[in-house]
Amino acid sequence: MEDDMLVDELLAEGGGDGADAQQQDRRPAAKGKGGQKQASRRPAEDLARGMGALKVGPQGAIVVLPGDRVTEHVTAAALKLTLGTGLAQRGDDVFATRAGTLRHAPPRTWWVEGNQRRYIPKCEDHVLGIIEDRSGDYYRVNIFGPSAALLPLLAFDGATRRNKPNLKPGAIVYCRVASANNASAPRFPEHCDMEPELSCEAAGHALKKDWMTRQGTFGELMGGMYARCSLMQARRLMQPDCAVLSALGAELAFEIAIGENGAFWVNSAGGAPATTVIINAIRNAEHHPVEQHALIVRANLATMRAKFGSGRQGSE
Amino acid sequence: MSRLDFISLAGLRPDGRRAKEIRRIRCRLGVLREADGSAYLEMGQTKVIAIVKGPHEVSRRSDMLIDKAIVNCEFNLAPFAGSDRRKRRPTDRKTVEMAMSIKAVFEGAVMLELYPRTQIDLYIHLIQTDGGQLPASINAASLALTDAGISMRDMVVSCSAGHVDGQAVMDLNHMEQSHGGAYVPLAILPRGSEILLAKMEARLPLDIFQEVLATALEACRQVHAIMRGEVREHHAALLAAQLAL
Repeated sequence: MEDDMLVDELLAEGGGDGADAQQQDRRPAAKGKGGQKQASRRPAEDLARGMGALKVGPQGAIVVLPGDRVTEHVTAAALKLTLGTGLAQRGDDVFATRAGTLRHAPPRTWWVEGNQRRYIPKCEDHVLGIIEDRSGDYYRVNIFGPSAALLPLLAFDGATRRNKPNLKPGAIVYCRVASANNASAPRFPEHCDMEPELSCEAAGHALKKDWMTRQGTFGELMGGMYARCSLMQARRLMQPDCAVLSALGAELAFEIAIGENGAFWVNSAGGAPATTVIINAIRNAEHHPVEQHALIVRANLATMRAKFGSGRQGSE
Repeated sequence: MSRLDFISLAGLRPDGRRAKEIRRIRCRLGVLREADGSAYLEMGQTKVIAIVKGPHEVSRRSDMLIDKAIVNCEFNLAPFAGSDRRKRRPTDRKTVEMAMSIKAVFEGAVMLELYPRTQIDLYIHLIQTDGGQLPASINAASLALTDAGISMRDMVVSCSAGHVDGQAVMDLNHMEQSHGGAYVPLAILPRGSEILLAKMEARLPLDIFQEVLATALEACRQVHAIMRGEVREHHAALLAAQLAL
């Protein structure tokens, strides 16, 4: 499941990189030396296991820099490769083009994960956007990517021509990316000039709630405030066992919406002081080891309570 | 000061370095949280902050390129950066030249074809200067682009060399740079030593120029080793912060 997700991410994201989703056949020359390959496969398999998605160990993890030649690492386990973001093929060699950790989704997908802050849209990502304006049948939404995205006026569950939400510029919406093509590896080359399209409708077979009920996953987020973090941090926040969110949850009552575009929205019963504590804790957590997250939260809370009282009033 | 004073009898330069020694380099990635990428770099007394914004929508539609990104560079020398306090306009000849050089370097290094119809902004702020403005700016910008996760063919590194007292020397400071001899800033892609920028506004015999160029190349390699170390450490630290999850 995890792996599926990652492969998906790669194929769609590509983001930026040319060799994306490109199958490479590293040919007879290499295949000829079958026996030799066999011998060198062992360490590579260990390596691959150590670096499985999200299970990176300090020993197994490989930090690469732009210009690093990684041919041996990536071809050791499989000769046919799918290269994701941050890797590119030149001649018979594979090079890193970004700084970050070399990641591997077995059997043959490789990419470089860095701490990027600029979002590259990809299909079915959940993102947080700010409405910029409305033109024709679309809202233009800033999703902190290379270009604004379009959100159709009727892309809300149960919306009709007569009964549809009316979003004002500045409104914060939580939505999913319905279509995105990146020009370096377009799935639909004829559409690659188009801006990404968003939707606030529940995806596929998911439970649909009329937008009027305000109970759906997507839609306008009222109150609260948004802040930004790196894309890596956003992905970590979305994991069920996220340390900083559990530490905050133990102390404060709040709602949070996290976009894969590195934007998150927080609405807290404790009002502005509590919201500030939550946002600061989340943003600082990125640079501190997980063991310290609870400490950071408690320290921030103590400061807040000394100044503003409990921050618990009105908690559900 | 007589010419001989630039390298003492003991073989030391005014700031205590030997001829083939670069100044101390210190750098940090991700210094500004709100930017897409940022870096701070010191080469001796020259201090630079570089900020990257983008890839984002092209600000002037007529500049947009259909098949690749455009690079936009703004260079700013703080009024208090040098020994005399002076405010420079953005249209100042030297400022414009510096911005154009930096832009040209990164147009050669960034994989622009991956970001069609977008723009990548580089903002360079020199906050203290003691010679080697261009190399320091290029190195800082290179680190900031690395921090932003923008794909580059290789990490650009830059350093200068010059010819002082009949000797090729590395990484000139302001005094050595302004005494009238040759000053050759060089920017390369270290793998394959591909030269992206080399400048000289003096006359040198060809054989001496080759020596100076070789010195500059060696200086670039030393800078590369230091910058690599810093980026590696930065990412190792980030990794360590998320590991326990």
